[in-house]
Amino acid sequence: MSLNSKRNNETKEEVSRLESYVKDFWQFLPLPVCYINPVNVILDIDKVFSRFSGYQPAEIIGEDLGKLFSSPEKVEEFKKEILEKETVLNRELVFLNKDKKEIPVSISAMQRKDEKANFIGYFFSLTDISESKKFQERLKKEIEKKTEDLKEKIDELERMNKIMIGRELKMVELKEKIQQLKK
Amino acid sequence: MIDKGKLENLMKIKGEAKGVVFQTDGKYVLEKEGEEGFKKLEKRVKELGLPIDYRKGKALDLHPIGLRTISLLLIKDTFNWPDEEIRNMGYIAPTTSFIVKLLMKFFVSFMKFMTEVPRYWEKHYTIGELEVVKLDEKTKDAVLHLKGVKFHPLFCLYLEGYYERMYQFIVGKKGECRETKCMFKGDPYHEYVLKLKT
Repeated sequence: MSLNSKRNNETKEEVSRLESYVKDFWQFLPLPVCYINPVNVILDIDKVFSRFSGYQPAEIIGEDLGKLFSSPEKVEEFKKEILEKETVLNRELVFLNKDKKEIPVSISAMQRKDEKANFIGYFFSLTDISESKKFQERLKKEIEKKTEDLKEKIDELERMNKIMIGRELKMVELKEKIQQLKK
Repeated sequence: MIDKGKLENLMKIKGEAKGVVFQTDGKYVLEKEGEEGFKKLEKRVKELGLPIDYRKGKALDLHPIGLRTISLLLIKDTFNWPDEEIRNMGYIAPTTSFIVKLLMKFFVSFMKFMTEVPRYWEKHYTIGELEVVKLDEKTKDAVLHLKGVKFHPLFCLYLEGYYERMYQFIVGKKGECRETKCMFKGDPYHEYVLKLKT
Protein backbone atom coordinates (compact mmCIF):
# COMPACT_ATOMS: atom_id res chain seq x y z
CA MET A 1 0.00 0.00 0.00
CA SER A 2 1.43 3.39 -1.00
CA LEU A 3 1.89 6.16 1.53
CA ASN A 4 -0.81 8.25 -0.16
CA SER A 5 -3.39 5.50 -0.11
CA LYS A 6 -2.51 4.74 3.54
CA ARG A 7 -3.07 8.41 4.39
CA ASN A 8 -6.34 8.42 2.45
CA ASN A 9 -7.56 5.42 4.40
CA GLU A 10 -6.59 7.03 7.69
CA THR A 11 -8.41 10.24 6.74
CA LYS A 12 -11.50 8.23 5.73
CA GLU A 13 -11.46 6.43 9.07
CA GLU A 14 -11.11 9.71 10.96
CA VAL A 15 -13.98 11.29 9.02
CA SER A 16 -16.04 8.19 9.63
CA ARG A 17 -15.40 8.44 13.38
CA LEU A 18 -16.27 12.12 13.24
CA GLU A 19 -19.52 11.32 11.42
CA SER A 20 -20.45 8.82 14.11
CA TYR A 21 -19.52 11.30 16.87
CA VAL A 22 -21.59 14.10 15.32
CA LYS A 23 -24.56 11.76 14.88
CA ASP A 24 -24.35 10.50 18.49
CA PHE A 25 -23.87 13.99 19.87
CA TRP A 26 -26.93 15.37 18.08
CA GLN A 27 -28.97 12.42 19.27
CA PHE A 28 -27.82 12.83 22.85
CA LEU A 29 -28.46 16.57 23.24
CA PRO A 30 -31.22 16.94 25.85
CA LEU A 31 -32.22 20.39 24.59
CA PRO A 32 -34.10 21.46 21.47
CA VAL A 33 -31.25 22.70 19.27
CA CYS A 34 -31.09 23.78 15.65
CA TYR A 35 -28.62 25.27 13.23
CA ILE A 36 -29.52 28.42 11.31
CA ASN A 37 -27.75 29.92 8.30
CA PRO A 38 -27.20 33.67 7.74
CA VAL A 39 -30.42 34.01 5.73
CA ASN A 40 -32.34 32.66 8.74
CA VAL A 41 -33.06 29.26 7.21
CA ILE A 42 -33.09 26.23 9.50
CA LEU A 43 -30.47 23.77 8.23
CA ASP A 44 -30.45 21.16 10.97
CA ILE A 45 -32.40 20.16 14.06
CA ASP A 46 -31.88 17.56 16.76
CA LYS A 47 -34.42 14.93 17.82
CA VAL A 48 -35.53 16.89 20.88
CA PHE A 49 -36.27 19.92 18.68
CA SER A 50 -38.35 17.69 16.43
CA ARG A 51 -40.35 16.37 19.42
CA PHE A 52 -40.70 19.82 20.96
CA SER A 53 -41.87 21.52 17.78
CA GLY A 54 -43.92 18.62 16.41
CA TYR A 55 -42.17 18.95 13.03
CA GLN A 56 -40.27 16.16 11.30
CA PRO A 57 -36.83 17.31 10.08
CA ALA A 58 -37.98 17.18 6.45
CA GLU A 59 -40.91 19.48 7.27
CA ILE A 60 -38.95 22.22 9.00
CA ILE A 61 -35.41 22.10 7.60
CA GLY A 62 -35.21 24.70 4.85
CA GLU A 63 -37.91 26.89 6.45
CA ASP A 64 -37.47 30.38 7.83
CA LEU A 65 -36.85 30.53 11.60
CA GLY A 66 -39.49 33.29 11.90
CA LYS A 67 -42.18 30.70 11.12
CA LEU A 68 -41.61 29.21 14.56
CA PHE A 69 -42.37 32.31 16.59
CA SER A 70 -45.47 34.38 17.27
CA SER A 71 -43.65 37.64 16.51
CA PRO A 72 -41.25 37.32 13.56
CA GLU A 73 -40.12 40.92 14.11
CA LYS A 74 -38.61 39.85 17.46
CA VAL A 75 -36.77 37.09 15.62
CA GLU A 76 -35.37 39.75 13.28
CA GLU A 77 -34.16 41.73 16.29
CA PHE A 78 -32.59 38.58 17.68
CA LYS A 79 -30.89 37.92 14.35
CA LYS A 80 -29.37 41.41 14.37
CA GLU A 81 -28.15 40.82 17.90
CA ILE A 82 -26.44 37.52 17.03
CA LEU A 83 -24.72 39.21 14.09
CA GLU A 84 -23.19 41.71 16.49
CA LYS A 85 -22.37 39.43 19.40
CA GLU A 86 -20.78 36.00 19.42
CA THR A 87 -23.22 34.66 21.96
CA VAL A 88 -26.70 35.73 22.96
CA LEU A 89 -28.22 34.24 26.10
CA ASN A 90 -31.70 33.94 27.54
CA ARG A 91 -33.95 36.08 25.40
CA GLU A 92 -37.64 35.41 25.95
CA LEU A 93 -39.89 34.71 22.95
CA VAL A 94 -43.12 32.86 22.24
CA PHE A 95 -42.61 29.67 20.23
CA LEU A 96 -45.31 28.30 17.90
CA ASN A 97 -45.34 24.54 17.55
CA LYS A 98 -46.82 22.65 14.59
CA ASP A 99 -50.29 22.82 16.18
CA LYS A 100 -49.83 26.58 16.59
CA LYS A 101 -49.74 26.23 20.36
CA GLU A 102 -47.91 29.14 21.96
CA ILE A 103 -45.06 28.11 24.27
CA PRO A 104 -42.98 30.69 26.16
CA VAL A 105 -39.30 29.91 25.64
CA SER A 106 -35.93 31.27 26.54
CA ILE A 107 -33.58 31.25 23.57
CA SER A 108 -29.81 31.31 23.33
CA ALA A 109 -27.51 31.27 20.34
CA MET A 110 -23.86 31.03 19.42
CA GLN A 111 -22.26 32.25 16.20
CA ARG A 112 -20.27 30.01 13.88
CA LYS A 113 -17.49 31.36 11.72
CA ASP A 114 -15.44 29.85 8.94
CA GLU A 115 -11.65 29.70 8.86
CA LYS A 116 -11.56 33.30 7.57
CA ALA A 117 -13.77 34.47 10.44
CA ASN A 118 -16.80 35.03 8.19
CA PHE A 119 -20.17 34.55 9.85
CA ILE A 120 -21.63 31.31 8.50
CA GLY A 121 -24.62 30.77 10.79
CA TYR A 122 -25.50 30.06 14.39
CA PHE A 123 -26.53 27.33 16.79
CA PHE A 124 -29.84 28.08 18.41
CA SER A 125 -31.28 26.46 21.53
CA LEU A 126 -34.61 26.72 23.31
CA THR A 127 -35.70 26.18 26.88
CA ASP A 128 -39.35 25.72 27.64
CA ILE A 129 -40.17 28.24 30.37
CA SER A 130 -43.93 27.53 30.50
CA GLU A 131 -43.72 26.16 34.05
CA SER A 132 -41.60 29.00 35.38
CA LYS A 133 -43.90 31.47 33.58
CA LYS A 134 -46.95 29.82 35.21
CA PHE A 135 -45.16 29.94 38.57
CA GLN A 136 -44.31 33.60 38.00
CA GLU A 137 -47.92 34.28 37.07
CA ARG A 138 -49.16 32.49 40.20
CA LEU A 139 -46.63 34.35 42.30
CA LYS A 140 -47.68 37.66 40.74
CA LYS A 141 -51.36 36.93 41.45
CA GLU A 142 -50.54 35.92 45.03
CA ILE A 143 -48.52 39.07 45.55
CA GLU A 144 -51.36 41.13 44.08
CA LYS A 145 -53.85 39.43 46.39
CA LYS A 146 -51.61 39.88 49.43
CA THR A 147 -51.07 43.53 48.47
CA GLU A 148 -54.84 43.96 48.15
CA ASP A 149 -55.39 42.33 51.56
CA LEU A 150 -52.70 44.51 53.05
CA LYS A 151 -54.23 47.59 51.49
CA GLU A 152 -57.60 46.70 53.01
CA LYS A 153 -55.98 46.22 56.40
CA ILE A 154 -54.19 49.56 56.06
CA ASP A 155 -57.47 51.24 55.07
CA GLU A 156 -59.14 49.66 58.07
CA LEU A 157 -56.31 50.79 60.32
CA GLU A 158 -56.52 54.28 58.88
CA ARG A 159 -60.28 54.32 59.51
CA MET A 160 -59.68 53.11 63.07
CA ASN A 161 -56.96 55.67 63.46
CA LYS A 162 -59.26 58.42 62.31
CA ILE A 163 -61.96 57.28 64.74
CA MET A 164 -59.39 57.11 67.55
CA ILE A 165 -58.02 60.52 66.72
CA GLY A 166 -61.55 61.90 66.54
CA ARG A 167 -62.27 60.33 69.90
CA GLU A 168 -59.06 61.75 71.35
CA LEU A 169 -59.88 65.19 70.02
CA LYS A 170 -63.38 64.95 71.48
CA MET A 171 -61.87 63.98 74.85
CA VAL A 172 -59.52 66.94 74.75
CA GLU A 173 -62.45 69.18 73.86
CA LEU A 174 -64.54 67.77 76.69
CA LYS A 175 -61.64 68.12 79.14
CA GLU A 176 -61.28 71.74 78.14
CA LYS A 177 -65.02 72.30 78.65
CA ILE A 178 -64.80 70.66 82.11
CA GLN A 179 -61.90 72.96 82.97
CA GLN A 180 -63.89 75.97 81.85
CA LEU A 181 -66.92 74.89 83.85
CA LYS A 182 -64.73 74.36 86.93
CA LYS A 183 -63.49 77.91 86.62
CA MET B 1 -39.75 -5.61 -12.54
CA ILE B 2 -36.09 -4.70 -12.64
CA ASP B 3 -34.21 -6.22 -15.52
CA LYS B 4 -30.89 -7.77 -14.41
CA GLY B 5 -29.25 -6.89 -17.71
CA LYS B 6 -30.10 -3.24 -17.12
CA LEU B 7 -28.53 -3.39 -13.68
CA GLU B 8 -25.39 -4.94 -15.09
CA ASN B 9 -25.14 -2.15 -17.67
CA LEU B 10 -25.53 0.47 -14.97
CA MET B 11 -22.79 -1.20 -12.93
CA LYS B 12 -20.44 -0.82 -15.90
CA ILE B 13 -20.56 2.98 -15.69
CA LYS B 14 -17.21 4.29 -14.52
CA GLY B 15 -17.10 6.54 -11.50
CA GLU B 16 -18.12 6.52 -7.88
CA ALA B 17 -20.77 7.95 -5.59
CA LYS B 18 -20.49 8.76 -1.89
CA GLY B 19 -22.42 6.59 0.58
CA VAL B 20 -24.42 9.62 1.73
CA VAL B 21 -26.78 9.18 -1.24
CA PHE B 22 -27.83 5.74 0.05
CA GLN B 23 -28.20 7.09 3.58
CA THR B 24 -30.68 9.72 2.38
CA ASP B 25 -32.54 7.15 0.22
CA GLY B 26 -32.80 4.82 3.23
CA LYS B 27 -34.04 7.57 5.56
CA TYR B 28 -36.76 8.52 3.07
CA VAL B 29 -37.94 4.94 2.68
CA LEU B 30 -37.96 4.45 6.44
CA GLU B 31 -40.03 7.60 6.86
CA LYS B 32 -42.50 6.71 4.10
CA GLU B 33 -42.78 2.93 4.45
CA GLY B 34 -41.76 2.30 8.07
CA GLU B 35 -39.44 -0.42 9.34
CA GLU B 36 -41.36 -3.14 7.49
CA GLY B 37 -40.95 -1.39 4.14
CA PHE B 38 -37.31 -0.69 4.90
CA LYS B 39 -36.68 -4.40 5.55
CA LYS B 40 -38.46 -5.23 2.30
CA LEU B 41 -36.02 -2.99 0.44
CA GLU B 42 -33.03 -4.49 2.25
CA LYS B 43 -34.26 -7.97 1.31
CA ARG B 44 -34.40 -7.03 -2.37
CA VAL B 45 -30.91 -5.53 -2.22
CA LYS B 46 -29.66 -8.78 -0.68
CA GLU B 47 -31.44 -10.93 -3.26
CA LEU B 48 -29.82 -8.97 -6.07
CA GLY B 49 -26.44 -9.17 -4.37
CA LEU B 50 -25.97 -5.40 -4.38
CA PRO B 51 -23.36 -3.80 -2.09
CA ILE B 52 -25.71 -1.17 -0.64
CA ASP B 53 -26.05 -0.84 3.13
CA TYR B 54 -28.82 1.69 3.76
CA ARG B 55 -28.58 1.17 7.51
CA LYS B 56 -24.89 1.19 8.39
CA GLY B 57 -23.19 2.56 5.28
CA LYS B 58 -20.85 5.50 5.88
CA ALA B 59 -21.55 8.86 4.28
CA LEU B 60 -18.14 9.32 2.72
CA ASP B 61 -17.39 5.79 1.54
CA LEU B 62 -17.19 5.42 -2.23
CA HIS B 63 -19.48 3.08 -4.19
CA PRO B 64 -19.76 2.25 -7.89
CA ILE B 65 -21.77 5.10 -9.39
CA GLY B 66 -24.22 2.73 -11.08
CA LEU B 67 -25.60 1.93 -7.64
CA ARG B 68 -26.92 5.50 -7.41
CA THR B 69 -29.43 4.88 -10.20
CA ILE B 70 -30.00 1.26 -9.19
CA SER B 71 -31.04 2.40 -5.71
CA LEU B 72 -33.64 4.78 -7.17
CA LEU B 73 -34.97 2.16 -9.60
CA LEU B 74 -35.13 -0.47 -6.90
CA ILE B 75 -36.98 1.78 -4.47
CA LYS B 76 -39.47 2.84 -7.13
CA ASP B 77 -40.02 -0.78 -8.16
CA THR B 78 -40.28 -2.17 -4.61
CA PHE B 79 -42.96 0.27 -3.51
CA ASN B 80 -44.52 0.92 -6.90
CA TRP B 81 -43.99 4.64 -6.42
CA PRO B 82 -44.81 7.16 -9.16
CA ASP B 83 -41.95 9.23 -10.60
CA GLU B 84 -43.11 12.22 -8.57
CA GLU B 85 -42.27 10.34 -5.36
CA ILE B 86 -38.67 9.99 -6.54
CA ARG B 87 -38.57 13.73 -7.20
CA ASN B 88 -39.83 14.27 -3.67
CA MET B 89 -37.14 11.91 -2.40
CA GLY B 90 -34.61 14.28 -3.99
CA TYR B 91 -36.43 17.26 -2.48
CA ILE B 92 -36.21 15.78 1.02
CA ALA B 93 -32.61 14.46 0.71
CA PRO B 94 -30.81 17.74 1.62
CA THR B 95 -32.74 17.89 4.90
CA THR B 96 -31.22 14.61 6.09
CA SER B 97 -27.86 14.62 4.31
CA PHE B 98 -24.67 14.38 6.32
CA ILE B 99 -22.79 16.15 3.52
CA VAL B 100 -25.05 19.16 3.95
CA LYS B 101 -23.98 19.26 7.61
CA LEU B 102 -20.34 19.03 6.60
CA LEU B 103 -20.72 21.83 4.08
CA MET B 104 -22.81 24.23 6.16
CA LYS B 105 -20.34 26.99 5.31
CA PHE B 106 -21.51 26.87 1.67
CA PHE B 107 -25.08 27.73 2.60
CA VAL B 108 -24.51 31.31 3.67
CA SER B 109 -25.87 33.18 0.69
CA PHE B 110 -27.13 32.74 -2.87
CA MET B 111 -23.90 34.01 -4.45
CA LYS B 112 -21.57 32.12 -2.12
CA PHE B 113 -23.35 28.82 -2.71
CA MET B 114 -23.49 29.25 -6.46
CA THR B 115 -19.75 29.80 -6.63
CA GLU B 116 -19.27 26.56 -4.68
CA VAL B 117 -21.68 24.50 -6.80
CA PRO B 118 -18.98 22.61 -8.75
CA ARG B 119 -17.29 21.58 -5.50
CA TYR B 120 -20.63 20.56 -4.06
CA TRP B 121 -21.15 18.10 -6.91
CA GLU B 122 -17.62 16.72 -6.45
CA LYS B 123 -18.40 16.01 -2.81
CA HIS B 124 -20.99 13.47 -3.99
CA TYR B 125 -19.75 12.05 -7.31
CA THR B 126 -16.36 11.43 -8.90
CA ILE B 127 -17.61 11.89 -12.48
CA GLY B 128 -19.61 14.61 -14.13
CA GLU B 129 -19.36 18.34 -13.85
CA LEU B 130 -21.88 20.78 -12.47
CA GLU B 131 -21.49 24.40 -13.39
CA VAL B 132 -23.39 27.64 -13.02
CA VAL B 133 -23.95 29.29 -16.37
CA LYS B 134 -26.31 32.08 -15.36
CA LEU B 135 -26.66 33.90 -12.10
CA ASP B 136 -28.68 36.96 -11.14
CA GLU B 137 -28.25 38.16 -7.58
CA LYS B 138 -31.21 40.53 -7.80
CA THR B 139 -33.84 38.14 -9.14
CA LYS B 140 -32.13 35.05 -7.67
CA ASP B 141 -32.43 33.28 -11.02
CA ALA B 142 -29.81 30.64 -11.72
CA VAL B 143 -29.11 28.13 -14.45
CA LEU B 144 -27.01 25.02 -13.86
CA HIS B 145 -25.49 22.70 -16.43
CA LEU B 146 -24.67 19.12 -15.58
CA LYS B 147 -22.26 17.52 -18.02
CA GLY B 148 -20.81 14.07 -18.47
CA VAL B 149 -23.53 12.26 -16.54
CA LYS B 150 -26.12 10.15 -18.34
CA PHE B 151 -27.47 7.58 -15.91
CA HIS B 152 -31.27 7.42 -16.11
CA PRO B 153 -34.16 9.93 -16.51
CA LEU B 154 -35.27 9.04 -12.99
CA PHE B 155 -31.99 10.43 -11.66
CA CYS B 156 -32.66 13.68 -13.59
CA LEU B 157 -35.99 13.96 -11.79
CA TYR B 158 -34.37 13.19 -8.43
CA LEU B 159 -31.82 15.98 -9.03
CA GLU B 160 -34.60 18.40 -9.97
CA GLY B 161 -36.15 17.91 -6.53
CA TYR B 162 -32.74 18.01 -4.83
CA TYR B 163 -31.72 21.33 -6.42
CA GLU B 164 -35.11 22.85 -5.64
CA ARG B 165 -34.59 22.25 -1.92
CA MET B 166 -30.96 23.40 -1.97
CA TYR B 167 -32.06 26.58 -3.71
CA GLN B 168 -34.58 27.25 -0.93
CA PHE B 169 -31.83 26.79 1.66
CA ILE B 170 -29.89 29.69 0.21
CA VAL B 171 -32.62 32.10 -0.84
CA GLY B 172 -34.74 31.56 2.28
CA LYS B 173 -37.94 31.49 0.18
CA LYS B 174 -39.94 29.01 -1.84
CA GLY B 175 -38.31 28.32 -5.16
CA GLU B 176 -38.70 25.99 -8.08
CA CYS B 177 -36.38 23.99 -10.26
CA ARG B 178 -37.09 22.58 -13.72
CA GLU B 179 -34.90 20.50 -15.98
CA THR B 180 -35.19 22.33 -19.31
CA LYS B 181 -32.56 20.35 -21.25
CA CYS B 182 -31.74 16.71 -20.88
CA MET B 183 -29.13 14.37 -22.35
CA PHE B 184 -31.88 11.76 -22.68
CA LYS B 185 -33.66 14.15 -25.08
CA GLY B 186 -30.57 14.64 -27.22
CA ASP B 187 -29.18 17.73 -25.51
CA PRO B 188 -25.43 17.90 -24.84
CA TYR B 189 -26.00 18.44 -21.11
CA HIS B 190 -28.71 18.60 -18.48
CA GLU B 191 -29.94 22.11 -17.76
CA TYR B 192 -31.66 23.04 -14.50
CA VAL B 193 -33.38 26.41 -14.20
CA LEU B 194 -33.86 27.75 -10.69
CA LYS B 195 -36.10 30.67 -9.79
CA LEU B 196 -38.22 32.06 -7.00
CA LYS B 197 -41.81 30.87 -6.90
CA THR B 198 -44.19 33.60 -7.94
